Amino acid sequence: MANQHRPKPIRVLDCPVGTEYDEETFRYFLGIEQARAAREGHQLRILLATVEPTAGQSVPFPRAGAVRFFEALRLAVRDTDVMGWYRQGQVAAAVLTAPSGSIDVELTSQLERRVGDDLRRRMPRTLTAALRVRIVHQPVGEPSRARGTA
Amino acid sequence: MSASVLQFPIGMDTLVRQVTARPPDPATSRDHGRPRAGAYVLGPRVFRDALVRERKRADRLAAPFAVLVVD
Repeated sequence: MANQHRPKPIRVLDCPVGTEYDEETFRYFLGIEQARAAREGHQLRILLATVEPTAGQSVPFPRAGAVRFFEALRLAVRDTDVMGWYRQGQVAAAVLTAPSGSIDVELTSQLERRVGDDLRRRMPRTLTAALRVRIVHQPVGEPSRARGTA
Repeated sequence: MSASVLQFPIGMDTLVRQVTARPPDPATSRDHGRPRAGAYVLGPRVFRDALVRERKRADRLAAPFAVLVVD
């Protein structure tokens, strides 16, 4: 019973300059953006990228490919967007922050095509055909239930 | 299967279905058993990144922006 009141250990989120956020750090910021979106009453837009040599079966990003991918992604999204691993080494992602209001579905499709094409142009040829990029709208919870820190 | 517990390897279509399956509840949900915001403190590089992002966002939206410095 006493264990229930023991404070959780505090973890420090940090990563080297010039590298993408690891899964834990990315999920931390994703949680903050989810809370912010819930407070403001709009959906969250998330870019997801996987490497699928065979449809329906993702494989880990090759290390060099991941470096190139995040370099290219940095050029394709805004400086207020959050990039990192949604699943470490396997699913790269970016939270595409929006100011407020509803997100236009047609605009999102255009953005998905444009960013996807741009990323493929900058990736090693061996990965171009296997790279899958999607931008999805993630519904958020009720504003009253969300507790964020930003 | 819970939307927050992703089984790999999976394809993009399955991933998208899981990510968009249900509204996450930031107050109670857990991903892979990890605690949510509140049990973390940001290291220097991540804090600086977040500070720059938030400042740019505030500039873009013409929103107020403040930093609390505890010395």
